[in-house]
Amino acid sequence: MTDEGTGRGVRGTGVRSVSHGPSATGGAISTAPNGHSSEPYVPVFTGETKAKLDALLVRYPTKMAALLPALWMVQEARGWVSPEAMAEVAQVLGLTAAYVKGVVTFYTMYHQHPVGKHFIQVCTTTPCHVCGAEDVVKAFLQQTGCGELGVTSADGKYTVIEVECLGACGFATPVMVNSDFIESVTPANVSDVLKKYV
Amino acid sequence: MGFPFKPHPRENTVLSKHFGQAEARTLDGWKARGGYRALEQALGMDPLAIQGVVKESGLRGRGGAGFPTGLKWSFMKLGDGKPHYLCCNADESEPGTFKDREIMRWTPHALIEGCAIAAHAIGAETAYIYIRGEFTEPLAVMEQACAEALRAGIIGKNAMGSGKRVDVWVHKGAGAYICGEETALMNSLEGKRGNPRIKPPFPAAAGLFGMPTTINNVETLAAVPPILVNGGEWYKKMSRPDNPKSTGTKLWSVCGNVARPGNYEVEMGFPFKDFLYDLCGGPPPGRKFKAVIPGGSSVPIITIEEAEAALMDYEGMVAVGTMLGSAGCIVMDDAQSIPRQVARLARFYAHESCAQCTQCREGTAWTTKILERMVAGDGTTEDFDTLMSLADDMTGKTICVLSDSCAAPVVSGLQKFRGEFEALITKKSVHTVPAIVA
Amino acid sequence: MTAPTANTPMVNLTIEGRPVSVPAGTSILEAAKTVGVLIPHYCYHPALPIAGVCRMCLVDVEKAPKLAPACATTVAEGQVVHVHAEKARTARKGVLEMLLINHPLDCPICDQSGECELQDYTYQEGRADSRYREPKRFNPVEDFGGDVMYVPNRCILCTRCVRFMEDVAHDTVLNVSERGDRAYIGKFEGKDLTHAWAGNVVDLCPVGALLSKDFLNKARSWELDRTASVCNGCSQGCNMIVETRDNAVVRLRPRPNAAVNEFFLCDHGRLTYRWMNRGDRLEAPTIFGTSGPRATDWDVALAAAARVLKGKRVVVLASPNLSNEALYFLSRIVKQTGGKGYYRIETGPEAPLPGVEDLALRADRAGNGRGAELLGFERSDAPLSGVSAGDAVLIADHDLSPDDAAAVARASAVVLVSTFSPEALTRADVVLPIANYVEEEGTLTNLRGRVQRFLQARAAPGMARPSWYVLADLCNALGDRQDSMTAAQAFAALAAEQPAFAGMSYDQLGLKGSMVAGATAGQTSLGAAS
Repeated sequence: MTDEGTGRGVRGTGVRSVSHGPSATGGAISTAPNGHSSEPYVPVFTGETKAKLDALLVRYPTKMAALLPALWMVQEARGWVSPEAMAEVAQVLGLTAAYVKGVVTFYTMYHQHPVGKHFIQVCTTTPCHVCGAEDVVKAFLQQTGCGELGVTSADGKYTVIEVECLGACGFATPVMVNSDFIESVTPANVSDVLKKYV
Repeated sequence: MGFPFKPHPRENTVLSKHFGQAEARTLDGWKARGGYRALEQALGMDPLAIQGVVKESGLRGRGGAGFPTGLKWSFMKLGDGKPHYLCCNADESEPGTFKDREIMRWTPHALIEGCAIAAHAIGAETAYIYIRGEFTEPLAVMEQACAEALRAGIIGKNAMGSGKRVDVWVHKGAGAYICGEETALMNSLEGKRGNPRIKPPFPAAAGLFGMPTTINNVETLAAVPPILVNGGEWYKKMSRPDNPKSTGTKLWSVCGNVARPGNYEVEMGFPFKDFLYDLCGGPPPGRKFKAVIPGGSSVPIITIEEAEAALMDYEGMVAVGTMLGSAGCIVMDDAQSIPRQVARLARFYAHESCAQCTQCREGTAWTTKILERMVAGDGTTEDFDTLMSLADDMTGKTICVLSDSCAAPVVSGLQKFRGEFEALITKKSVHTVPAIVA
Repeated sequence: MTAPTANTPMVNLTIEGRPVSVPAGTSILEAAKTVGVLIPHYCYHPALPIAGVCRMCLVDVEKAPKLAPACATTVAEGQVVHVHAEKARTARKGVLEMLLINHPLDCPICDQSGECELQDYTYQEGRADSRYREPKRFNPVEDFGGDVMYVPNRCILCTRCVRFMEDVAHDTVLNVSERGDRAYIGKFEGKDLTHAWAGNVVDLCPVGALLSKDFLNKARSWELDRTASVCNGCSQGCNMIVETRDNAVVRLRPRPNAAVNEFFLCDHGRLTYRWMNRGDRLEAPTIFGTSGPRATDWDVALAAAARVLKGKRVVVLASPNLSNEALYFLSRIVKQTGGKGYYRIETGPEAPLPGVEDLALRADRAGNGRGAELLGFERSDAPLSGVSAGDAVLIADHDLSPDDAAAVARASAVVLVSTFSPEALTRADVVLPIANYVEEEGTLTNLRGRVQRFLQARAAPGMARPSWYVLADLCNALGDRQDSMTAAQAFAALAAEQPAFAGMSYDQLGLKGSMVAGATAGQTSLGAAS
């Protein structure tokens, strides 16, 4: 029977959950934090930062080409790329927020949610895997108190994830802590590494 | 050099002789080491003449494809009135490969010089060095070196006083292996998702921002200054007498279960057996070599027997059923489980798939799931056929070769180490209805 | 694909054994169409930039090392292309299998069933079973805003929707989010598919991933009857298909016309169909006597109408949605009685589809304003203000404002020829019920002067008759002999008399229409009009 009244509503809409699959170990976990921050958003691209972006724009014939650099500037300033920041970058570069989001979600290094103060990324691809990278991961998980991959430790200090090949295979196992690149990490020297990140 | 070890006498350290020398990073230090003579020479040459020298040298792309560099440069139509671009592919993400990072962090000016020469040879005024976001130190070193070179007038509006403009900019990636594919790199540079493009059109016709573009690997570009200074003939001589198609030196990134992992620079045609046991020190104590992936994870796995019979150049690797690729040499000893590593490689490709092509997007993930299930002890005999069938579906049917690269270790692993896979199967083919996981 | 010119060289090749000759630059996929070969595909669409991502269209080109994507490969002289060779079929089978591994296989509850290209090609050449043994990926349904809902589990990531919003609607609201098999079509929180033309993504989606919320669970596609028609939501005159189930209109969809709307229909046009099914219709010819309204036979009512109109100046308030044919007979009555004909058009904001030349939801929200104008009617916001005591008023399917109603009250006779009874109408002498435009045949003239046919999609209620038929009979009753027994004949009569329509006939109009004299055809980016 057809109806002439209002169309039926959408059933079963919900919040996107973490999709499963091989990427579950890579990149920051994409579960949304509960609720948004109640503080008003402070723009990133003001003053010196804006000047820095303007200087970069000269290098490219299009504004869009400055998108990845602009997103890096956001992450350097705020530690992650929030939806508000995506909207700001979109506005500054003449793009849509949806477009910026599509780019942000493509690249694993942009955090879409806040992470621990020290974001620990351990390479576990085959060249490091055969050199015991999994044991390095275990050591980090244990010694940071995180316990699980992708979960920030209770004190907010650490998040540990596995990443794909960091391009330092001869210096197994390479580890990045935020943007610090540390080579030749073994289970034995994990504690030394962590000493620098308190 | 077998950096971080001392150079082995059988190496020829054309590109790597200054690895480890902090001074080589500075402009003055580089000049003292003979740097920028090649650029000065090149800026006074006709672009076609530069192309001729590089063609004669037989230099081939060192990023993995091995395409003749001089020929690639010749595809750029000089004087067409369009802005030309040079992209340096410093996205080094092929598992097993870690040579470009060394070139950049120890001899940044070698790369800048190579970029500037290449730019001039293809009629480009702008060169972008696309460096993967994880390469913190190379990024910092390259930025500093570019700034230094700009301040000194080596690059910029009036490169070395030649009246020609050569701008070299560093561009930071953000975590995507696929951006090492030349067309994906261009899309990423343009501020898009790193999706490879359909070819044709080829970059030399329509590339970065739709303009004629050449993309070259770091190692390729770093080889250009010595070729220009020493001549194409010099480079050509470094080859097997019976194989003139592979010339010069290659940085081999050796990693995995080997006594002395590191970057070794040897001439084309070096015997692989000597290389593995002599230069690299052989397997770890108490272990034996089992398998080698010589060219980065995208090339077929070979057994140690096959490796010991191989010669280290493009054709030599093809002759033993694999490829030279990026020369990211992953060595596995007898303590490793081939199925586990093949599964881990499949997981890598599944993580990195850009999601455009159906076979890659779904096939890499499906392959990974089957392999991980097998490694976990839950495999069936039917999985062998499925894996081979998927590998066939994933080969030769997509925009780029990421899915082919996922298929390579699966096919070669199953072909050469079938026994290890079969040992994982404890039950016959059982058809169960899978759960839906929310 | 660039439009060929006289100088574009032709390329000759063979596809599936058939000789093909097409302009250079044509893709193999389009070339195959010219000889009746359909190369299976998903992501390709003639109105969208080429993506080449679904990999369904891989064909076997002799002497080529790899299979070629037909949508993204231009023809070359002497090529021999096999679409159904073993290699190509195997590749397609592989694509189909992979598209289904994470698919919920929920055809029984999916709206797309019966018009789903995944079903079609899988049935045609896919596997009969699946070898997938792993847990399926699951993502919940999302509301994209507007009329669109997104079911990610069915999505094959062809990206037609993303490319449409970016390149045709110029409103990049959709993206591809994430990577690998985690990828899905995403949008930004708070920015929805509210674009005036966004509903087209539902048509473009080859599968049941993007669905119309309005149409959700309403009907199965095989239950629908489909009729060619023209939208009358505005003066653009987009070609459409009226879909009915059990005589009720349940959906409107675009019908391609390169000269008018390409492949698209705006949301306003698409979703404004419920009025076509309204139940409060006039169903019987009615005479109002001293004892009130009395239903009667047609001939009695027509005679009564002629009686009250005769000898008076007839002022006609005609709906700008009436067909050319109906307006023609009305104009005859106006001329015969020395009266005047008016129409009023409601307006709204214009909403162009930027990626298509000359396509917009037009400000004039009626389908035949141009036809009314050509046939001598005057546009006015106070159409009945000139009505005086001796006049007769004929209201033809038009609603009445309070001012209109007051003017009607002044008139000495009122005849209502309509589908519905205007609420403000307080008196009428005779009521003649007519069909609405999906219940009859006719033509409309769009803002550029294109005359287009619409066909009958459902049966009219009660005793209602086609509008042109009733008005021709009224002419007859007034002594102006009209012999048209079919809409085609009515149109022929119109064309014979009205210079703008000279030379036109239903056969000549076909289903793409043609231009009135003096008007130039439009051209969208896809090609010239005929």
